[in-house]
Formats: sequence, C-alpha cells, structure tokens
Amino acid sequence: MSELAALSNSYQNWYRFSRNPTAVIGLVIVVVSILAALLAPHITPYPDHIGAIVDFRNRHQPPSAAHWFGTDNVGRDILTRVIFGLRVSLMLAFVVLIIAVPFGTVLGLLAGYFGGWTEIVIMRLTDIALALPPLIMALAVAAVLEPSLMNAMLAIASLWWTWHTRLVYSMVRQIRALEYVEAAETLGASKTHILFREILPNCVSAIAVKTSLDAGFVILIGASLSFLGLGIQPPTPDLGTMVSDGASFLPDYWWESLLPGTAILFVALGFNLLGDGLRDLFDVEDVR
Amino acid sequence: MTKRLLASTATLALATALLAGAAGAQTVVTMNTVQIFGTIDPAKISDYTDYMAAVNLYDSLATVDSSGNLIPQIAESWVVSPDATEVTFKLRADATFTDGTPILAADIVYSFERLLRINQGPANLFAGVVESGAVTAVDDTTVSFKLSKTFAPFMATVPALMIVNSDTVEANKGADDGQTWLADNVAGSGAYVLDSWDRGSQMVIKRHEGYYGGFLANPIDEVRWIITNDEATVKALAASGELTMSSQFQSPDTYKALVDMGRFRMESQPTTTAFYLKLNSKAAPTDDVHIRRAIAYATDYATIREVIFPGESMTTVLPAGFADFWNADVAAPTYDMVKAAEEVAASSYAGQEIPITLSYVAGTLFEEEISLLMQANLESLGFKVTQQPEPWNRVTEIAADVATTPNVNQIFFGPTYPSPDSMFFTQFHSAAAGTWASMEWLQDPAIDALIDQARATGDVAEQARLYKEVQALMAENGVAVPLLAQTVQHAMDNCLQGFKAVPMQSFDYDMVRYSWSCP
Repeated sequence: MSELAALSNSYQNWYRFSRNPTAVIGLVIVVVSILAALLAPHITPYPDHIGAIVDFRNRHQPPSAAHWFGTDNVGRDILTRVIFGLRVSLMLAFVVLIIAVPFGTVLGLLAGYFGGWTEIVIMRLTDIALALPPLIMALAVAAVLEPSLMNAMLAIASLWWTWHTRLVYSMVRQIRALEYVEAAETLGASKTHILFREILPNCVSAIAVKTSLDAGFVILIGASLSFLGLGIQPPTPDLGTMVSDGASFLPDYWWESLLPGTAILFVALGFNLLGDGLRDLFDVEDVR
Repeated sequence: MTKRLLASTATLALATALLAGAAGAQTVVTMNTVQIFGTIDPAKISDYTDYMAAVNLYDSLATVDSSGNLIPQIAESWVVSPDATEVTFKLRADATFTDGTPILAADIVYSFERLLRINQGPANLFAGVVESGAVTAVDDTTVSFKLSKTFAPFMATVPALMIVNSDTVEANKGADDGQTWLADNVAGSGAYVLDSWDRGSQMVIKRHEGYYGGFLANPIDEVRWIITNDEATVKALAASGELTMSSQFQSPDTYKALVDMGRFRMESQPTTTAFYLKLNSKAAPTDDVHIRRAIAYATDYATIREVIFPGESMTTVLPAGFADFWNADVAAPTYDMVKAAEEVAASSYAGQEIPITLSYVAGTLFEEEISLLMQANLESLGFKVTQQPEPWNRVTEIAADVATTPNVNQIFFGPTYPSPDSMFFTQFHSAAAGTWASMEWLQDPAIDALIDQARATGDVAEQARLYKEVQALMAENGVAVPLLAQTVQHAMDNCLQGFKAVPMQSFDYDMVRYSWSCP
C-alpha cells in the first residue's frame, strides 16, 4: 500500500516535472553533457587531439565535415577539445559542491537548531565569508599559492558553503518549532537523530534545488578563472582557456572562441533550467 | 567704403587660407605605443618608450646607426688612447641646446655626474667603469673620459649618456637634482621639442627649426605618440586616416588589416634580439649534454620561424647582425628526430621515461604553440613533458634559484648597448647567474675567462676571435638553443621613409632619421 503510494507520488512528481518544458530541456542538457563527458574518448572524432599533438598545416581550419567545430591555432579539432573540456568543467563543479554543500548544510543545521552562541559564531562567520567575492578570493589565493585551477576552486569552495549555511539555517529555524520535532525531543531522541533524521530530510529538496543552480554558477566561475589564465596545464583542453586563446583571433577565426563559449553557455544554462524546474516542482520559495 | 571693406575681407580670407595651407603642409607622424612614457628625464630612462622620447628630445656625444656603429652627434670626433683607458671627445663648435645656448664640455661633465648621482636608468652601464670625477673638461669643446680599467664595450655605451643643459637644470634644481623639473620639462639639444604630454594618452613633439644637426629633405614636423595596445583601436585609427605608423607589437591580424587598407606597407627588418630555448644545465635531465643535444635536434626550427613567430634563422648564440663577431664556422642546429633519438640513447637517461618541464610566459600564445610543438616531438622520444606556463614576474623569480629554474625556458634577449658584450656577459657569464637572462646556469670558468678577456682588450680583431671561440663552445655545450633572431615589424604609411632597426634601445625611432616622400 505504502509502496504504491510512494510510486504514485514519484510518478506525480515526474508528471508535473515533465509538463514543464524548460525543466525537461535543462534535464536533457545536463544528462547529455554528463554522458558526453563520460564517453568522450568513444564519441569524439579525434580523441588523441587532447594530448601532445600539433598539426600546423591544419591550423585555423573553419568548421567542415572533417572538423565540425573547425581547428585551433595548432591544428587540433575543436569539437573533440570542447567535449573533453566538459570533463574539466563538470569535475570542477563536482569538487566545489562536494566540499561546500555538506559543510554548509551541517553548519546551517547546527546554527539553526542550537541557537545561542553557536548561532552567533556560525552566522557571523558566514556573513564575513559572504562579503568576499569568490572570484577575487580565487585570484588572491592563486597569487599566494601556485596559480592552478585546482587551488582556485578550493578557494571558491571555501566561500561557497555560506549560501547553503544561510539556506539551511533559515529552514531549520522554521522546522525546529514544528510539533514532530518537539515530539521526537519528548521521546528522548538524540540530538544527532533529530538533526539528521527528522530535520535534514525536510531540507533536502531545497538543498537539491540550490545545488543544481550552483553547478551552473560554479562552471561559469571556473571558466572565468581559466579565461584569466588560471587554467589547467596545456595541452589538456579547458573551455575557458579555449575561449581566451581563441579571442586573440577574433573576428577572423571566430569558431575558436565562439564555439567553446557556446558550450559553456549551454552547460550553465542546462543546470539553471534544471534547478528552476526542481524549484517549481518542490515549490521551494526561498531559493534564489 | 563698402568696396574697401569687401576687399579687405577678401584679403583677410585669402591670408587665412594661405596660413591654413601652410599649416596643412606640415607633416605629422602619428604612431601608437603599447605602453605609457614612464619618464623623459635622461638620467632615469629605462624602457622602450622612455628611450623613444629621449632620443628625440636629447642628443648624446654620439649616436648609433643600424649596423651598431657610432656616428658623431654632439662630438664631431674622438680619440681613444692606445690602451683604451682614455677617450677624448672634440665637441662641435656649432652645437647648441634648443634654447640657443652653446653646448660646452662643462655640460657633458654635469650630465655625467648627475647620471651617477641619481644612479638610475643608464647609470649601470658606467658603474665600475667611469668613476665620479673621471670626466673632465679639457677646454670648452674638449672633454675627456678616463676609464678605471680597460673596458672594450665602453664606446658602445656612450649614446646612452644624453646631455642636459647644465645652466637650465641648475636654475631648476630644487632639492632633488632637477628630477621634478626634468620629469615634465626638457633641457636638451635634440631635433625635437616637447609640445604636449598627457601621461595616460599621448605625447606630442615638434621639430626644432634651429637644430644644429640639420634635417633631411622633407623632414617630419610633428610626431604624435598615441598610447594604446588595443588592436581594434589601432585599426580604427588607421581607418580614420590618423595613424601613420603602428607600434612593433601588433598582432599579425592587425598588420594584415592595415596593409589591406592600401595606405600602409609592411616594414620588416631583422634585429639583434635573439630568441632562445635556455636549458637548465644544473638540473636533471638537462644536466646531460646528450639530452640537451637531443632537445636541439627535436626542435622544428622552420615551423617556429615560418609559421609561429616571424624571424631570421640563427646559427650560433649570437645573432648574425653582429657581423664582425659572428662565427660563420659554427654549424646551424638542425631538426633531425633520428639524431635526437640517437642522442637520447647515448645519454645516461636512456631506456627510461625522462621527466622534463617546459616553461613559457603564460598568456603568450606563440610561446604556448612552440611549447606544444616541443612536447609533441619530445614525447615521441620518450620524454614525459610537464608544461609550466608562468607569468613574467614569476619567471624572474624562479630564475633566481637553480632548483626552481625549469628545464627548458623560452627567453628573448636583445642587446642593451650595441656590443656583443651585452649578449655574452649578461647571459653566459657566471656573474650574471640567477637572472632571467641566464637561466642556463652555465657557470663555466673557461667561458667566463674568454668573456673577461674580450672585455679587457681594445683590439677588435682579438675580441672577434674570443667571441667566436665562445660561440663554438656554446654550440658544443648546447645550453642555449638559438631559435631565431627576431624580426621587427611596423605597418607604415607609404609616404613615411627612413625606418632602419638599430641594435640599441629605441634609437631607431629618432625621427630626425625619417622623411616624408609624398608632396
């Protein structure tokens, strides 16, 4: 009976989600991007063009049947490099969010549930971290440590948790006053149980929406950083670096920066549409 | 009455038209520079724009031509003592500053002492060579330089000593030796005078009619330097008819666009600025001469020179522009992957994966292209390549320590004074170790000794012999792979003539050397 209810519930969710065309487009883009990134060595026409390959006779070739996206300044296939570049972008989004989301969520839970000094300390720290722009922080960290994309992304992760702390905090403040939490407390449930089994599940939908929206932003910031020269080591393909390198050949060899740029737009847009769709689905109000 | 008024109005209009016509006949050259003019004080100038303004506003005892030879300017002749430790200059009797006062020996002494006191800009060229008090006025038109030791390249550094009007500077001395005043004013004898200078955007100089040195036929009356490194702005200035000459740092795309406009031609000339792969001889695996030779064989010189970055082929570590000192017997490096593989096999690293770092200036596209080309070739030989793009300020930092210096470094180096000494001492002498110009960490006593001997002799033939020997040794040890000698490029209005690359700072932009060939 309850299995059926659960089934019909998730079916209802899927039905509502599938009636939202932009959400479905977002989902398709995200799934296609992830699959393309995973299967890159099998689906790209010139998988060896991500390595130490130069072919100066074929440099700056416009899009053609042999090279759908054209070739770059050392004669490598841009389509291949764009698909492999997705790997870097998605991996960076994953790294930042895998650090920032759990960390921010736990801090938000603690601050919201315990209140008092815990709340004051955590929330003021959050406010301070919120005041620092992530891009500037990443550039500063890059200047102090080795200028690599990984360091920059760790710097971003070290600031990104704040949004999740704020979000979870405000939700926990509402939930902790609800009767089922009081009931669990009366029954003598442990704090851990209340925090992670009673309160957290009710925040998950909001966190999921926020995380999906974040993925798009992190990909954009990652691309901005590599555009500014903090990219990963060549010849590994990276979308932001490709846009930046290609920009010196504008407007004559437009495909060298425009097409990788379109790929960035595409992925960031996909995650945003998906996040918006999830928000409508879960009816979460206070996520931007 | 009315008739007379009409007539006078007509006369006035005619006069105005004539005046406008005369003004229109002025030839104005507009050139863009990619950076601001830092200073016009001849005791402080250091980079290419500083020198560009200074060579027009000030004169020196002698200047440099495109072959690196000294040509008389304020001095009409000079005598070098047999042991090359004393040089006596005879000044032109008619040489005057732009305010009309004659240039006297006392002005030379004053300019030199002021340069040493401020101790910036070109002062380092004279450090340890000519001490304070060693420049004396023999009479009003004779000045003598006594050197602390025989220093063969001394004459080549003379053009860097630009002469200021001692009376004017003394009158505006202030508390800082006239530095504040000379930062915005000129007290020189150059062919041009400063007209206006807006630090962030442009500098305008005008021809000084009474210049003692005289002008070519159809000289340039006014020069406007517009400061912009934006390719689109340069193209727009050219399209609007304002630009006469581009900077030498535009992209190939911009040069092409300008030439396509029809009004411009490309000026392309070889320079003595060399482009090398500098191999760290104190770090594995480039500490092995066989690995260094393998890298030299694995370098595709023709592709680099013809496709990636324009340049002249270079066979030794000295550009062929130093004709008298260049060793023609040194064989040019060749691209030969078979020989490269043989060298790897002969090395102590044979039979294993050889890790190697290739460094280049981050954001410099052609250097990245060269680095990728090297990577492709080296990996096919069994190297494991790590690319290490570094911003320029970090390159200067990592060059300071042998442990942080990468294996392979792409470095440009041009002479700061027109003498092969500038190329050899600054790059390959042990005294220069720890700078970006000497990332080879050569520290070879035999080469140090040869360079020292060449500095200490006044005999040019002997110098040539010594420098040729250094080139042969450098080809043998393979620490610096000569890639190319840079070609300097300008898009230039078809009417502007006179550009000739000079192997010293910005002396090729002394506008007195230019003329206008159109009516």
